[in-house]
Parts: sequence; C-alpha cells; structure tokens
Amino acid sequence: MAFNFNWSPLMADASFYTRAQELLTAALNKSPKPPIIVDDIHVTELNLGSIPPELEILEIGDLAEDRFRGIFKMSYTGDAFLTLKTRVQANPLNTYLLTRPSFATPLPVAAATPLTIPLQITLSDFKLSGFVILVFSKQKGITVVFRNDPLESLKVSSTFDSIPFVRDFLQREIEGQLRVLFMDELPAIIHRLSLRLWVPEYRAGEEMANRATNTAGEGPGQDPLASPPQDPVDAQGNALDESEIASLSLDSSVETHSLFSQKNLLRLAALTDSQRTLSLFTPSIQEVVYRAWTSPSDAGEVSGGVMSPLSPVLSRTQSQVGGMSSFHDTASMVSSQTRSSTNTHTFSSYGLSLGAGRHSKSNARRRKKRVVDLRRPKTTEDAVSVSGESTYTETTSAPSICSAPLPVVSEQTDDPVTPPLSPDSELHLPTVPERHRLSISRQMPRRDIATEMLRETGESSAQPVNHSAVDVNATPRVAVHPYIAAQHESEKEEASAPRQLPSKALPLSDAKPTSSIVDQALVERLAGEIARRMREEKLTPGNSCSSFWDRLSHDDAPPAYGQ
Amino acid sequence: MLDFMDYIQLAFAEATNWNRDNSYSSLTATAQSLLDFSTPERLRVHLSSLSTPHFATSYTLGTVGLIDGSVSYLFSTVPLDKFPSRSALIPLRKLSPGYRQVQAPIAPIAETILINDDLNDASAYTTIGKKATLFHATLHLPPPTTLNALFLRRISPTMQLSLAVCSTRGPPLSKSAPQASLLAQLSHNTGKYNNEYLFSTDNALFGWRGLWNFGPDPRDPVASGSSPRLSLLSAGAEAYYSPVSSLIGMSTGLRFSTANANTPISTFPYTLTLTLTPLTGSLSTTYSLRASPNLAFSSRFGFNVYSWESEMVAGCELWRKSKSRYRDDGDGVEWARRKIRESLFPHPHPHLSTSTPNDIKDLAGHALEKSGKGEEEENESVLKIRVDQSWNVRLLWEGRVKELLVLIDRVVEVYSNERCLRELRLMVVFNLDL
Repeated sequence: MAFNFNWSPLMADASFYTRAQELLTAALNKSPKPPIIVDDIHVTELNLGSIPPELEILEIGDLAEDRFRGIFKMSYTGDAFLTLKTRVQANPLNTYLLTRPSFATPLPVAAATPLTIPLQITLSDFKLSGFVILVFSKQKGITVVFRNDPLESLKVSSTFDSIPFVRDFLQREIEGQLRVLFMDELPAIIHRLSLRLWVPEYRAGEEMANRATNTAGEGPGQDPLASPPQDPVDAQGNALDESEIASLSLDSSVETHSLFSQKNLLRLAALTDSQRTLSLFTPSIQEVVYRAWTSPSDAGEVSGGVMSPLSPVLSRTQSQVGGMSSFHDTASMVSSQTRSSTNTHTFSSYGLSLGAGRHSKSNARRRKKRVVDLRRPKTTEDAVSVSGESTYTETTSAPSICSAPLPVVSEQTDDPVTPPLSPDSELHLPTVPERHRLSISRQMPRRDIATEMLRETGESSAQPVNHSAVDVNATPRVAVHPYIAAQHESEKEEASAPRQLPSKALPLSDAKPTSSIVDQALVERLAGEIARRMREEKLTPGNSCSSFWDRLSHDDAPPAYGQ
Repeated sequence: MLDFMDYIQLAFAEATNWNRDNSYSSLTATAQSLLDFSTPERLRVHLSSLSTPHFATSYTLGTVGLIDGSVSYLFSTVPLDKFPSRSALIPLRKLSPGYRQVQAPIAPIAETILINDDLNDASAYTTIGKKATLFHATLHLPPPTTLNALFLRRISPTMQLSLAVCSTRGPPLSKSAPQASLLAQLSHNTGKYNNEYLFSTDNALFGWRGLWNFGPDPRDPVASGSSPRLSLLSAGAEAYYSPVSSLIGMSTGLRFSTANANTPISTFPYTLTLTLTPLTGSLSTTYSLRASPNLAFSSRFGFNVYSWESEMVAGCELWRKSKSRYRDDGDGVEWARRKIRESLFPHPHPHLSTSTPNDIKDLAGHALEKSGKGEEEENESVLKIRVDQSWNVRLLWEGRVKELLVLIDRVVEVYSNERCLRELRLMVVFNLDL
C-alpha cells in the first residue's frame, strides 16, 4: 500500500500563506508574552520549503476515499523558515522596574529610559521528530495532533546574533513558545486552514447530504447527525460552536456529532406546520417520502403494530428502512461470498446486520462492503485490531484540539490493516475480552438470525441483539462526494421506496427477496422488531459504545403517504 | 499630590535637617513634578491624622473596580507637631510639588552645631541625641495584599540609612520577581557632594548615586561666606549592577539652576538639566522656568540615538489664589513687609524647597502668622497642564473645597484615528487633626 502525500500544492496557493500567517500571528499573541517584548509578534514571512517531512506509517485506523486516520512517525529536516517581527525592550533595567512594585525599588533618574528596538527573528533549520496522529475527513478537514513534543532543534537567528547573552535568551524563549505552539496551537491552525481549503466542496457536499438525509428518513441506517451542518443550532435556534456540539454527545468525546442543520430544521418545521394546520402548502423537498401523522396514539400503534399481521408495512419503523435498504446493495455484494443468496431471509438478516448495524447512508455503504470484503478471512484478528483501535480513540480524545475526530468506535472490526502494534499496550487487556466475545457473537447471527426471527419475533435473541448492538454504534459519515452520494441516493430510493408501499411492491431487481407480500411484510416486521431491540440494547449501560444519537432515531415514524 | 504619609516623611526630613535636594535622585525633580505628575485612580478617600506628635495613621478607601484600601501607621522619634497636619492648614504647595527652587547647598547643620557648640536649637539637639528614627508601614488590603514598610534612621548628621521592604502576596509580574524584596539605602550628604549606596535583595542589585556641586565648598566657612551664589551647577551619575541577572544600567546628569535668594529681579528663576543614558543612547534635556510665583513652565526633549525616537513634552502649572474672605494685611504694603522679613530672617533652613514668601514665612517659625497664613492658603488651587507630541493632554486640578483637599484629574488622549479617550478621576483627601 502506498500513499502519495503531495507537499507542493500548499505552496502554490498564495492565499494559503497569507491565511497561515494571520493564524500564526494570532496564535503567537494569545499567550502572555514576557515583559521584554513590548509589541505584538507579527509573522512576516512563512515558507514551508520544498522538502516534505518524512512520514513513517505506524498505524492506519481508517481508510477510505474521503477520510483517513493514522499514526505516523514524522521526522522533518526541511528548509522551511519563519520570520517574526516584534519590538523588544533593550534596557533591562526598564523591564526590571516594570515587573516590580515601585516601593522597594531604587527609582533611577534616567537609567531606566526605555529603548525599544525592532527585532526580526528568523526561525529555520527545523528538526522535528515525533509521533503524529493525522485524521482527515473531507467534511471535517485535517486534524493533526502531536503525541509528544516534536521539536528537536531549530536555529534562531535574529538581529542580536552578535550578543551571545541575548541570542541565548531568545533561543530559549522561542523554543519554549514553539513547543506550546506545536502542541496546542498548530493543530487548531491546521484544522482551520484545511476547513477553509475545502469550503466550497464542503458546502456542496453539505447540500447533498441534507437532501440525502431528507430522502432516506432518519432510520438507524441513516444517522441524520452524521452530516455536520454548517450552521448548527440548538433547540432555541441559537448558534452552537463546536465545543458545545461535542459536549452534546454522551460518548466521551470520541464521536463528535453535529446537530441538525438550520436549513433542514426550517424545512422540516414548515413541513410539520403544513400538516398540523390546514395549509395546503407543502414544502418541496427533493427525494423525500412524506408520511402523515394520524394521532399521537398512532405512534404507539406503530410499535405495537409489529404484532399485528394486518399492518406490518404501515408500522414499519425507520430502522426497517435502513435494514431493507441494506438488502439491496449488500445482497449484490455479499452474494458471491456467502453463497446463500437463495434464502431471502438470510439476505435480510445479513443485510440487516450490516446495514442496520452500520445504520449508514447508502452512499457510505459501498465502501463498507469493500472493507467487509477485506476483513472477512481474518475475523480472528478482531481482538488485536480492536485493541489498536481503542488505543487510537484514546489518543485522539486526549488532546484538546480534537475538534472533529471521525467516529471510530464501530469501525474497528472493519479495520483490515491495523497492525497489532499499539503504542499503549496497557489498553489491550480491557478491550480484548469484550471484543472477543463480540466477535464470536458476530459469527452466529449470520446463520441463525433468520430462523430465529421466524421462530419467535417477540422474544429477544441475545445474539442478534448483541451483534447488532456492536455494529449499531457506528455513526457513519455522510460521504460528501456529491456524485457518489446522489448516485447512491437514487439507487437506494428505487430500492427502498417500493417496500414502503407494499400495495405496489415491486420485485427487486437482483436479490429478489419478495416471493409474496406476506413474506415481505413478515420479514420487515421481524427486522423492525430486531431494530427495536437493538435500540433498547444500546441504551443499556454495559454497552459503552452506544451512541446517544442512535436513540434519537425515530421509532414512531408516521406511515408514508406520498413520495 | 503627595499623600499624608509622604507629607509626614517630608516633615521628618525637615525636622531632621536632611537636605533632600542635594541628591542625584532629585536632579530632575522640577521637571518631573511639572510634566510627570501622578494621576489619581478614580475615587479615593484618604482619612489621615497625626494622632500624637510622634504617631500618624492613615486610611485609604478606593474604588478601582472593586473596593480596596490601605492602612498606614507611622512612628517618628522626632516630634512633628509643629508642622500643620490638618487638611485645612497644610499648605497646598507642599502637597503638590511644582517648580522646585534649588537652594545653594550648605553643610549639614549638625556639624555646625558641633563646631559652634550652639545648643540653642532644640530640634537639632534631639536629632543628634536620639538618632532620629522613623518607622512607617502600609498594608494594602486585597486584592493582592501588599505590605510596604520603611525604616529611616539618621546614623550621623551626614548619614541616613533607609530600609524599604515590599512584600506582596500577589502573583509576580515576571518569573524572576520575588515575593518580597528589601532595599537598603545609605546616604552620605556633606553638602559639597552626596553619595547614595543602594542594595536590593531582588536579584542582588547594587546601586550607586552621586552628586557633586561645583563651586565653593559649603563646609569651608571662608569660601562659602565670601559671596552669595548666583547659580548652582551640579553633576551627578548613577549606576546599577546586578551580578545575578547581569542587569546593568547607568546615567549621568548635569543641572544648572539659578539660586533663589539673590536672583536679579530682571531674570526669572530657571533650571536646566541634561541627562544622558549612555547604555541605551538616550539623552534628555529639560528647561523649567518660573515666570511668576504663580506660573511655571517646563519642557522636555528626549532623543534616542539608537532608535531615533524622540519625545517632546510641555507643561505648565498655574496657581490661583482666590480672594480670601478677609485679609488682615490688605493694606498694599505686604511686599514691603516681605522684603523686610526676608532681610531679617535670611533662611535658617535654606535647603528646604521654599519658593514662595508664604513658605519662607512659615519656615521662619512665625507661629503667630501661621494661622493667618493658613486662612490665606485655604483657597489656593493649582491647575497643571501637560501636552506631549502626540497631543495627549493631561489636566490636573488640585484645590480645597471646605476642608477637603480635592484633586481632579482629566486625561485626554487623542489618537491619530480621532478616537478620544477621556478619563475623569477624583481624589478626596481629608485629614483629621486630633
């Protein structure tokens, strides 16, 4: 496996340097400066040089077209340089007197006359070496966190190079400031810069994601919170900043969810109002299935309706949508592997275990399957790879600048390339047994769930539930790649829409799961029940990975009345 | 404006015949008081009293964001009751230093007493006998609690030891600043020259200040008594060095001043100073002029040869004497009396910064005239204006309202982008005399 890190485009962009200089200037002036510096520190020149840093891949946690997560060992001996300008107080007696209460100081007549001189400092010959955690997501930009102090040495050349005392002092002070910068400020700067870099694409992707969210409903397969909005608001409509969003998650800041987009909220509010009132206006949201509320008791009927054979389709929950939609693509992909395509129920169960467990958007599902293909033969290595993964989550949550880390918890089992080496070996022990259990339980439902579902729908089978609980924790990202997303959305729309309306249920193209409407309804009912249990299981405290947001997936969706 | 404790310390120096002018520290005192006058911090109320002739207390209450205050005590072995301590009686010209007339140096008075064996002066006698000591402590209450303590002792007629301690509980402003520091200062004043040796425990800072007066030696009665001095030329230097932090600083200065008493009537009293700071390459000249007893001007030009920064400050002070409600000597011949008085009482304490005839009258010890003078001083007020090259204007008005000393300060700073910052500060001083 090879990675191509392109170093030069950063330098081609002229506005990048301007922006980086502004951010660096702001970061340097944030912390209190020593009293000898009497002016702001301005970054006048910045050049990243032409020699890229050497990166040695230690660990790759997640890999996809639009996201990446890994740990590198970085060493850099490049030709980057940085020039700062400020003003310093050259009279040490003045600085001395400024920092003392005036009572017990010898008040000199003129010996403390200030002399401020401009100072230009050039930092060059950076020698960096350290472990870097790089998280890249097209939506959330780049997050770079240094696990240790990366600064080995640098050369500070200033206007005072001829005076050894001042030179040493400057070297000391600047090294101290730079260490702070590398550990605290630089991740934030890089993150902001990368966000800015991808803003147009980011916005376009956001639009598509919003539409996709509206289209597919908010089932477990479709986490509406996975798409980070540009303008998150709380219930009162106040804007939220990123830290508040992060604090909303019940998880220990491993998964940073975003709230609903304000645009979507407004549209949904208009839609709700139009249904509650007699307004004839219905906001047009593309690729959306509208459902009608009948009464609040209808919601209870929905969950109870699983038992009623007469209303299986109307009482289908949102999770079923995800499960059913997973039929389509998982079937096509997995059929060659499992060789069990003759059985519809096997399809459904497997699709459920993948799709509902991922509760991912259909656009994200394709790469999921690829991951599944990769890791299929090495299920036994679950424990090892998971331990590496949990180590990773530990490290990402540790730094304060972890503004938008990718959700990592549920992706562990799909990690095909995680090496067994893990920097924090003490994390192996707590994670291994549980993952082992989960990985064992994971094998079971693939064969048993269908029969079990058929046999008893009301009773909970621990294994499928457990298995789904593992997978459900995943909060898949909305793939921002607009074309893929649109393609998948349309694809999925074709697949899932007929199932929602059983009266005109269309035969599926490839998997052909529906022999009859009754079978179809039964399967969906079972899937709904399992999805409900999955949600219940997620709320149990033992499952630490359960996502707060998954609880929000609506189990009381109204029946569809239009499309 | 000096606060009450500073005033008492000034009185102590007067009582012990310590010449504060004959020091390098006060080389630019005139320009500093005219150009760099301190500004009070918003509303601050002082409640002070000289409870006994030896003991003084002062309480301060201020509002700077949150309420703070201070408690001060002062003890002196020298009785200070002959100095007016009521706020209605303290001459404002002492509290608000303005143009400071440099007096011709004289030899320390104790030496002449010893030589002449003249025991008539009671205060000088006690000074010698008891080795006048002053102890002063101020506790600044939160936020951060700071204790300032001062110990002054006249070791000999020519030597004075001063120990100043500052201890604060607040966070230090820099890493090298300790929580407490002690400054010891030993001054040696012979009239002809003055040496001050300083040592601070903070970074082990050593310091030296010296001043040399050109002209005849005041200790030599033949040379000094031959002819009155028309002017005074003094040169001085200071140096600081800290072996711990390699701190170094020095400056030299030169002062030319007209002597007060014998100035020809056609010329105004004026003072010229020139200070050089060779290490940082800055030089500064001041020119101060007293156009009339109630009006003084001062200007300062600074230039740095390294950074080419320049500074220009101009300021003036204007004393207004409002009409007294009654004048016992309003017959128009006051000037004649003053002349006669000056000729009869030619300055027993010429080292004091006595500038106006009223002060001279006061210091001559005319206890009977004191009350009348106090009434006269009651309505005196001073207005100080200061402008610098960037048109930052600072106004200060000090005066007396009833028995309160009121100080109003207005700072107008005009920036280049038409942004004006105005501040109005007020300080009220009320001294009790129990």
